[in-house]
Amino acid sequence: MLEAQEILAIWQKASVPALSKAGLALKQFSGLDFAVTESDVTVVSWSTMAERLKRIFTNPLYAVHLQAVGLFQAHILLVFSDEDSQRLASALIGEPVELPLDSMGESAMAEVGNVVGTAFLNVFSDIFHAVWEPTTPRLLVTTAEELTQEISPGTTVLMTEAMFRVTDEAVSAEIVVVPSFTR
Amino acid sequence: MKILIADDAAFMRMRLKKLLEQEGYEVVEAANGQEAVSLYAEHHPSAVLMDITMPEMDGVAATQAICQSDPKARVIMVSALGQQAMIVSAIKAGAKDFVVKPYEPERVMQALSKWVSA
Repeated sequence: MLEAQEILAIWQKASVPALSKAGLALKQFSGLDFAVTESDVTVVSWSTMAERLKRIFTNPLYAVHLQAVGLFQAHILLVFSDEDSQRLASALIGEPVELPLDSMGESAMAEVGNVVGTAFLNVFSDIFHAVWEPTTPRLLVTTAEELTQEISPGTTVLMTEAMFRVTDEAVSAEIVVVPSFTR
Repeated sequence: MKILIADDAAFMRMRLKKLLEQEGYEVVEAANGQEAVSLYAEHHPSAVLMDITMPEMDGVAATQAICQSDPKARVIMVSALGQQAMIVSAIKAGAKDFVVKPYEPERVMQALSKWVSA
């Protein structure tokens, strides 16, 4: 049985390849040349999350939320601006789509969250030899404040965070993974 | 030749349906595992492309139910959940193959060709 400190050390080490896998999955799935930038593992006050998101995105934002169960409980958020959601959904569907996204556009975005979030989980599953699976994805069209209030994983959280950017284009996405080591 | 696609994401069903129809397959769609079991009994498709994470009944349970009713069923898992333990569970449930999302279209067609012609 691993001690909390050991789990934390593994979490920090495994987050880098897990984010790379997630970025690669986003690139393969969308056909856009996404790369991982600005990845970090930090302990933060969750109440500051809305401010962090507001520095990157204007409201409204599109967020795909998954919960992970099995190895640990965790929240996974994949966040896009509305314009980047439109670009990504257009790339996936193969024709221009309008905002707000229709049900097919929303389904495409939810599947992006599923594919990217699960790619992250798969890396940890391989390391720990245990299943770590997501719930079905939930797409939220929301604001930074409402999103952080609704997810609310705790006051102080360990967080893995990264930005995915398309080379030479203004398309980006933020992934946030918040594990809970209490089972 | 009829193929059953089971995936809760309408977008994924649309993407797979387009690919299969281009190759001359007829497609039946299910939005969850329970629906997949019912539609399998009704249509007896040549193969099933089955997601895992779905509401109502997940893809592994649906595969088990289908393969219990028809031991010759050809179920191919198509899921992002490419974890070793999950692949083993799916194979134990009766799945013939496992394609990890995001996939290249050729990988899906290769799996279908292999098992549908078997």
